[in-house]
Amino acid sequence: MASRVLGQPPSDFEKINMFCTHCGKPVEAVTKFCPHCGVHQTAEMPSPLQAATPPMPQNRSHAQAASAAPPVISATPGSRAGAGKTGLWVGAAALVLAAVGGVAYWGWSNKVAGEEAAQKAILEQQAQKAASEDAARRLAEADQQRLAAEKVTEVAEIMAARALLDKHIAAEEAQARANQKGGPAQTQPKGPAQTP
Amino acid sequence: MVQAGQPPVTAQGQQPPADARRPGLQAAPGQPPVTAKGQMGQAGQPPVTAQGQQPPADGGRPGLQADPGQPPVTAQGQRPPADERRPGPDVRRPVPAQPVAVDTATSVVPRGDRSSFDIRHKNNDGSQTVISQTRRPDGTRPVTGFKQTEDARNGTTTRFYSDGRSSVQGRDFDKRSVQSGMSFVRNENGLREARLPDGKPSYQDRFVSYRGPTGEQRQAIERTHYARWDHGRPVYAARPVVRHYDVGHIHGAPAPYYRPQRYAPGFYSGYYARFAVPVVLAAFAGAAWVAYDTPATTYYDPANLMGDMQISSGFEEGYSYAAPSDALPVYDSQEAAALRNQMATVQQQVRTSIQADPALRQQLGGVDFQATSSQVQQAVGGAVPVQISEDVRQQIRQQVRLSVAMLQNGKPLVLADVLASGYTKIYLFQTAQPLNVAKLSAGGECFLNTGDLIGFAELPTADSPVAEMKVVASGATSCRPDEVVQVRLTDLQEMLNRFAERVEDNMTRVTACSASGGC
Repeated sequence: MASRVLGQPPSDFEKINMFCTHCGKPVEAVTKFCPHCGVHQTAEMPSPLQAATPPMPQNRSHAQAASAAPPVISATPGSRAGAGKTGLWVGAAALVLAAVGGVAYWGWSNKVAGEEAAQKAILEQQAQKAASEDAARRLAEADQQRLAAEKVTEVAEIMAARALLDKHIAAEEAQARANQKGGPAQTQPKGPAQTP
Repeated sequence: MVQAGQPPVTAQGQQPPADARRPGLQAAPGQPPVTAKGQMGQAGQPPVTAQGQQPPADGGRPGLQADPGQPPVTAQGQRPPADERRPGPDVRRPVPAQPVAVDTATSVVPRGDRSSFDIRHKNNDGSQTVISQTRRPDGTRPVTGFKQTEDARNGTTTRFYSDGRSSVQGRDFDKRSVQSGMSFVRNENGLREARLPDGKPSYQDRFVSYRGPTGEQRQAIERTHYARWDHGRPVYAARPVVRHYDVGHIHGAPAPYYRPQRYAPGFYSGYYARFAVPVVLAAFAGAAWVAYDTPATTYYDPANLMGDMQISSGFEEGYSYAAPSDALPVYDSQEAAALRNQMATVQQQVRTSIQADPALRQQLGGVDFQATSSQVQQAVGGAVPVQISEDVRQQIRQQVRLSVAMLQNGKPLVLADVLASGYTKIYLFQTAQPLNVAKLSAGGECFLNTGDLIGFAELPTADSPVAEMKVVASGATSCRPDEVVQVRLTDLQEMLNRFAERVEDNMTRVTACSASGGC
């Protein structure tokens, strides 16, 4: 299909290389009637370039590209209404697609944000838990250290007390030995005189 | 320390010198007397009952007394007025909860963590029955109880316990009877006596006087032993055994100090020489009354035998006191059985009343009334060997060794010396006579029998006539090990006296064992 950008004059190649829709002989593009057969040139006249070039496959990216590109009008006045409709449809579809994409993007971004927030909350909880566990562990360690210190102190006190007891025993035994060697002879139990 | 030849106490009731003695054992001049009322701020506050009724007029606070019925001793050794007599002496006692009246005759007093409580029930004859349930760390909930009767004319308060024991508190004495019916009397003037179930004296104190080295008149206490109770029967001595005590004072209360017997020079020599032939411990009480981590039946070292014998003979004596004179256990006596039946009835009535009254349930929330009267019997228990740790065993061996040396030097064991020694923390006391003592952990009271071992939980303060003691080893019917109880300092001194006497007795026994090759 021969087409050109709206507002631009046809090129020389386009002017020369048009063909009659009836006899197929070359005609100028601006000619309304074929100079060879006189038939009114209302239908599209395929250009040699278009005839030689296979149609490009339409795909989603092209459609999207078309939506972003300036509007295209038919080269012939008879095809402009259909082309406008198609453009509208394409535009609407593009808009719908854009809206759907936007909504999807919005949802996706919201979902991601939610997930990120949830993950952040979990991380915070884990951090708090770790902090509390750490604090509890520190407290437990402090308690253990305190108990251990108390135990050490108690053991030391007991050892010191035993040493003092041993010392007292040794002193009393030494005195007993001294009494036996040089002391006065012990006698039988000697009680106090009873009160009359 | 006390020097040889210098008794730590003076005669005629004078205070011992203040030198090396712990000042707390003397009445601090210028300081106000320590009375029970002064120490217990809440004693004069009438508890509020659920219905705004006045609770039973005391007597009903057995758990708050060191010895039920035993009035506290002031710093001057005087008894406070009768209205201040209860509760007894105190240092740090758990604050008692307020009683909740269940009906006009019955109230409940939660204690501690509310798993322990007392039920007080006024009887028609004017007496009062007190049921105490405690919760032990092992989860058991033994129930004990007693019936208390006040005699205003004689000024006595009598308690009969559900396990067959009883106590009488008079104006100037207290008396405790154990399951056999044997009784122990402690007079306010420092004299003591014990009587057999038939009322005849086992031993008896009296004051005597004598002239000191410088000719001055001195006062002493003479104790004459006539008989002992041996597993359900009296055993009379061939001739009375006499022991003497010097009279000292602890916070104004008379405290006799045992004056060691004087033996021939070689009497204690056997303690230091290893046996030529090992002594085999056959049917001696040690094997039956105590259990060691490393039991021994053959001894090469007299010191080890003396130490173990010191422990076992104490528990043996305690169990002997409890053994009744006939086949019928005192626990099953008619009076004891009737009391236990009444306790079960009152418990059931309280349970029913609480179930029917939501307000009561709310007031007593958390109090567990699920214990049954059958657990009373568990509290009585049987004569099972007392577990003695190696630490305790070694400590007693050391203390016996010290006593042997001090006895040779004629020195008495004096509480003030122990408190000033530096080894107070590890020193152990062996209960000399049955005692009812206040439990400081959860309130209430428990029983210490002869032979039970206790140590200081905290050193007594200078102005306190009592000490917080921790139970180290005890018989089945006694306060549980690790229980912190309150014991009078005068009773601690009596324990030291009996410890020294027991060392003397066991030395005689070990000498005989050595000669025969067995005990």
